Amino acid sequence: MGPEDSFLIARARQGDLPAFEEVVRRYQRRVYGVALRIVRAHDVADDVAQEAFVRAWQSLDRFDLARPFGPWVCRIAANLAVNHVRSPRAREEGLPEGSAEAPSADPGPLGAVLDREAQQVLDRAVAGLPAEQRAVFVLRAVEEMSYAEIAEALSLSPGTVMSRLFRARERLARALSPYLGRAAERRKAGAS
Amino acid sequence: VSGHERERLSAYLDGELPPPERAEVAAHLAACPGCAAVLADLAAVDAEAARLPAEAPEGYFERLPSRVVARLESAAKAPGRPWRPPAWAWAAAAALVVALVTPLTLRRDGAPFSTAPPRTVARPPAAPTAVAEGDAGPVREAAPTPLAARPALAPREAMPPPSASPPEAAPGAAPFAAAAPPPSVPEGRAVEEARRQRDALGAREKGEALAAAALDEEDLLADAAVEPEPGPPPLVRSPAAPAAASLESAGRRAEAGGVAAKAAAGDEAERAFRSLDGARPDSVEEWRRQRDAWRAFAAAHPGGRRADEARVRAIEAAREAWLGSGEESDARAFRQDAADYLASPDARQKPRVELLLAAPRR
Repeated sequence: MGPEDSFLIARARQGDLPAFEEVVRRYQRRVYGVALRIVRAHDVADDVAQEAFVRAWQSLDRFDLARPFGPWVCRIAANLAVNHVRSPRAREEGLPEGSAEAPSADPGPLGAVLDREAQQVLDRAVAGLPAEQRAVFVLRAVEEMSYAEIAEALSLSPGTVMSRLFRARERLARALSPYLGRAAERRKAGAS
Repeated sequence: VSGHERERLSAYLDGELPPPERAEVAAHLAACPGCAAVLADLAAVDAEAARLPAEAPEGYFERLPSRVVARLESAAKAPGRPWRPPAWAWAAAAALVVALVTPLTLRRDGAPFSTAPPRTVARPPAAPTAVAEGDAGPVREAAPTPLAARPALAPREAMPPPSASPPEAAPGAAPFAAAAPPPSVPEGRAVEEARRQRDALGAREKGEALAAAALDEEDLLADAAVEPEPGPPPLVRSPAAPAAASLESAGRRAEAGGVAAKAAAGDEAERAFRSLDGARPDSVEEWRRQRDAWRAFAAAHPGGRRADEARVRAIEAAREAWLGSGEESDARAFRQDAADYLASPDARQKPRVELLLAAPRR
């Protein structure tokens, strides 16, 4: 157990780079995860993660030490990631989006295999979401940010966050519906 | 279940409905198995998504913290990137750049202004005049060179069009500081001082400098009126190591204030600008250095009339570096600078930068 985040960040504010390096170490997986889920490519996620930490460093004076650092830096990363996927260049190159295919007729043994297959389908479905929907969904479902936090991170209104999130979930639920149904059946079978 | 109702279910799942609506939905769910199933599916989607792996290549997380720190360290040395120097350094840094760059440029080849490029010499004579909000006098925009007149930007291959995305809302500082409105300068005295400066310069350079650089009197007057170097620029890299004595002296000069100092600073900034403008990079590395130098100039003169032009020149140099190297890191630097510029509320030449983004690659 190392020093508190607030201690490290206070040191970093004074220009203490090793302290900030430790902060990066603590939050890098989370920041990278947000970035990767939105941009869907390691190289870009790496850029976004680095840039997010650099910008966080530059803005430490504005960071409220009483608040958690993680959501703050994740919002920076999300904003950068969305700006990337919105860029014409990214649209031109295309994201590694898979098609949300229906699962095969024979999913094999239930349980782990089914789960794995469902995850693959879901992963492709998430990749197939429009970037803005994907970002909103990731920030909510993975980062568990409030609508207000997502709205702030992505410069949207809370109403837009709500509708985009709903549309994303609907699409994902449709893609996953065979598994959701089977899961329900399994639950029912297990109960009887 | 209607779309609207399903949308409400989604918000209900997140606890984002106001209490009256929340109670209403909860009552409905208790009586409607269909909606309860929809809600369960939405929740299952979230739960599955949270379990999706976000894996990085092996060893990535061992290296990332040190890579970030290395970037921060290099940013501290590089120009144009915000750092956190002590407050006294701002004024000293700005004056230091002027103090160190100008003599070097004046000595280059013994004829600094005669090496000015055709672009500068052929500068459109009637640069558009804009009055910046809060300015004490007119701001003469550096004349944008038409894209077609820039051989270095000759198109060949498709480039992405400019981003229509909104400015970065992340709390990161933009690489280029917004220009602060310069303080008011008594125009009469400024004009006098500008003339004196010009005369002195003319004598020093045997009159050739001003003519070659197409620097007319109006330019000088504008300099004197609007180039007082307001606001703290980021630390910038100077071409020579800062000697303590020079730093102190430069700092004192920066603090001196007064119309004469302001006019002189404007004049020196103009010479520094022209020196950069005269550079002819012919390698990727030189283009990168030129990009950094333009960034440094823009950062050192954030309120100056050349700041906006310098920012655009930095973007152009970044593009040249990228076109020369083909490296993704250069492409990113170019796109990032362009995006930052386009997102900047005080950017005056957005169409020009948009053209850069849209111009085909050679």
